Amino acid sequence: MRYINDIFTVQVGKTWSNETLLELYERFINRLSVDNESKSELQKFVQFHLVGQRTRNLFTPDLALMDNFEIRATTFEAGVNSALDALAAKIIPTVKALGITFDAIVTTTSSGNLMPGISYRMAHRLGALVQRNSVMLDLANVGCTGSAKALNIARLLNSSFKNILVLAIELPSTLVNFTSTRFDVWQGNCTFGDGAVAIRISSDPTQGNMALALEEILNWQWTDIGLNLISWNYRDYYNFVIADEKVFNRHVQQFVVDALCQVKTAWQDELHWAIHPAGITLLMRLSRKLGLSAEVIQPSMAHYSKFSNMSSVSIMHILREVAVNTPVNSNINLLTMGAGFNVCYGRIRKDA
Amino acid sequence: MDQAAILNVMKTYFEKKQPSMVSEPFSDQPLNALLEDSLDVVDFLFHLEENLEIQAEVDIEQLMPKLMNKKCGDAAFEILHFVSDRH
Repeated sequence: MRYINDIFTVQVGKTWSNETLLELYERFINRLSVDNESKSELQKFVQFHLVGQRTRNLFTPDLALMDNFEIRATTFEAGVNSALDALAAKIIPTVKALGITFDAIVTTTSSGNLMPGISYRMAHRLGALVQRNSVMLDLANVGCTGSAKALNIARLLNSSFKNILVLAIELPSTLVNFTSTRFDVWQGNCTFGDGAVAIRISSDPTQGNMALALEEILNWQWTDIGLNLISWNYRDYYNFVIADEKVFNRHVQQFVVDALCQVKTAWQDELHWAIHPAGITLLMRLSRKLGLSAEVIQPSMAHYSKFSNMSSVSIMHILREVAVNTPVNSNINLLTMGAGFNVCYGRIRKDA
Repeated sequence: MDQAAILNVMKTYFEKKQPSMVSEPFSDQPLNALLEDSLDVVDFLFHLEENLEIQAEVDIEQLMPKLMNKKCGDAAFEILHFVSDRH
């Protein structure tokens, strides 16, 4: 059995409110070369997506600068390096105190590309705390399910691996697009936030602040009918685009319900869930379809309200919060969904 | 179903949810002022779905932007059009 012994979270960049973002976005919508009626429709759409007190952290100090490949890519690199510095500062004292070294680093990001990869950059920062012959693996283009996949890889590595570090870093602010008239592009502009997380995994339940046993992580893919539900589009950089919202919501809800119907354990009665906060509507519709109480989705709601959707990073931040309030010997359910189309369900037992 | 009936369904929701925020004439109140958070927006939508007997799930992305910056009376009129297309 493998255990999560620590979840290290860091804040990336500065906090932006809906109000500040709306003010900026309205200025850019006004500059679009479309008729006034189209601008008004887009403005109302953006107002709807930025209603209320929601916040998010954005590494980019000035979103308006994100207008060419070089700035976007270099900002992504700077953001990743900054997140790695902050995570390493938390990991190093813990790992030194335990007297252990990592023999594998598994990383995921979908919001940019780097060479050398993020695992190597973290190893550089951790120095002798990472073994020379360690496995370094960077997952790319996995989307919101990336951290669950990385966790599953760590779970499945053979028993010769003693200490594994899983990282998820996402900087969707570098993808922001003010020139499009597409509603889904603006939905992306409104939905996401930047963030980072590191998860320390071992085979020893006594080694650290917590012992979350990774009992099972299951995956389902619907590439036959779900391949184009979430994808990249391009201009000078990547654009997050989704299929028609109605089709998207209907399919996603059905995929998740179908996936959970195949889970043999009795998840229905359990109170502790970390669910990917794709968006408020989807969360609330899913909870109704699955018969989950409002209490069950509250941690995901609270996370979304504070950090918005940080893609693969969010669910691990939520898991950390949920784990604190979960009694020992109780289960925590992980549920995430994303591009592919993919649904991941994980069952974790809090042993300590 | 008419605009007045929809307005009544809306008023019932807000009187139960946040009575201190509801004032008269209700039809002149800006809807935005009553929906303070995205959670409220979705909850309001579920109330409409249940009480207006809308058969299929309402596409929130399609309906709610139409209601932004509208007074409750005008929002009820938009909802009437939206619902009529679905019955």
